Amino acid sequence: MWLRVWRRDGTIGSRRFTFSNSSGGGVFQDSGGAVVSGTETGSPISREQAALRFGELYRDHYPKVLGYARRRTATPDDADEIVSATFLVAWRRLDDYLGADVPLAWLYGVTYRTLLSHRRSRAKSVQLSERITFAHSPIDDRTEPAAEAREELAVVMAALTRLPRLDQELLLLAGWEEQTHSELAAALDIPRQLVRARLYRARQRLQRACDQIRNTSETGHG
Amino acid sequence: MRRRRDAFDVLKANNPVDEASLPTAESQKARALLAEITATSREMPTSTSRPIVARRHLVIAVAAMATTLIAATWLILRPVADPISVACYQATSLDSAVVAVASGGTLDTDLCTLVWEEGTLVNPAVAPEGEVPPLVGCVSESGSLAVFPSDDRSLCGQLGLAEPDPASIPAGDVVRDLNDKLVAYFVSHECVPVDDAKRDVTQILADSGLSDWHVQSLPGTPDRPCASFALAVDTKTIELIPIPRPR
Repeated sequence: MWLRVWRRDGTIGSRRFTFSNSSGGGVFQDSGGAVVSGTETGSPISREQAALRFGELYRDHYPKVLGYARRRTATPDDADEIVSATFLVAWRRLDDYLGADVPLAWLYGVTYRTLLSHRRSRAKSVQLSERITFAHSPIDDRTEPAAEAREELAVVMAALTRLPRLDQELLLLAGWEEQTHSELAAALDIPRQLVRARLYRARQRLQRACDQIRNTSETGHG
Repeated sequence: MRRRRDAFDVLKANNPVDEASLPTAESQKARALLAEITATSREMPTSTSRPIVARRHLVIAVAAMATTLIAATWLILRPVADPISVACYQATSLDSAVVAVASGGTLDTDLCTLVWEEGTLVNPAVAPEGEVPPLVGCVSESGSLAVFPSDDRSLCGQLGLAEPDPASIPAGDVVRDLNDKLVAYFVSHECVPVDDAKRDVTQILADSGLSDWHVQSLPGTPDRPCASFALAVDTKTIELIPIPRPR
């Protein structure tokens, strides 16, 4: 029986549920056979098993999450703080992490929300218009006319900060983390059927914002 | 003059971080973090001294600790056959701007939540841009769900619309409120014996005016003496599931 499942933490997915009482207890199992919730016909997962399984995913995902955080924070220390908080949540919600259709996308969603919370807690010390900070300049002076490339990138990044935060994250996850539509849906808790349209609109808004910035600049110099 | 590139293409081409240059999970710092994390309890701490962790994560994690069941925080939904779309209104008026969102067969006011959050709908009178105002769902004459930015439960009547029938809408305020009450009940106890849970949950339903809902439970056992719950909205059933005592 396939059911659309809505979690109270906002994530949405589809799972196949069976309710079995053959052992005298209740069991929810997802389509992959993994137990959802930690109730099993046998013993609950041991701490050692949990640590092993978590460690496997951690080794695969640590560089990805660190890269994500580094792209969106001002300093490596800030990024490390986000990474630590993210994996702590993942450890405490290990069942969700292990049971996610795309664990990395699920983890990106946790990192995104952790980052938002971090920004909110620092809002008084950070200008509210500053939505994205970057630790590195990605322009490679050797590959193309540097000044023109820097100007082009500066316009795009300025335009990005004018967009709603969900649009920003959609564009960044698609552009920098190279997430597919399904992965975007999983990471940002967007219904799968809305992702394509939402991403298209976000790209349009980004382009319009760039045009506005250039028009304002040209008018000012005109 | 060089033709300008698409803005998104510029963004993609300028990834500020090359992951190959970052420390791997085998680095000393990463290994130390892994050791520190796996040495901690998987249960949420009683204090909320970690400002970085979003509050809703703490709420959900506390629920998971108390019941050891993620199922306690899940709503089990079944797609609704009839409505095709949800209409998200900008104001509490049928003449205001409206955005139709494909429901995918599932009625959910949260489809409008996303529309507000992304800035497609903006109404400074009800919420700052990018923020989600309180939302009320009503049933329009066409039978689709119309969602308005308001916390006034009498709005549907004022607009000449019908209130949504919980039987026809998988997720709505009634079900959400019920889930919140049940989570709060189970979270407040380390272990609720199944029989006690059945009695108390039945009372919660009665207090909520949900006389057409019922409780179904499996008997507790010495190994699984505590109760957790799952909501089956389509059958209006709260299923109590015996689970082991939390560690």
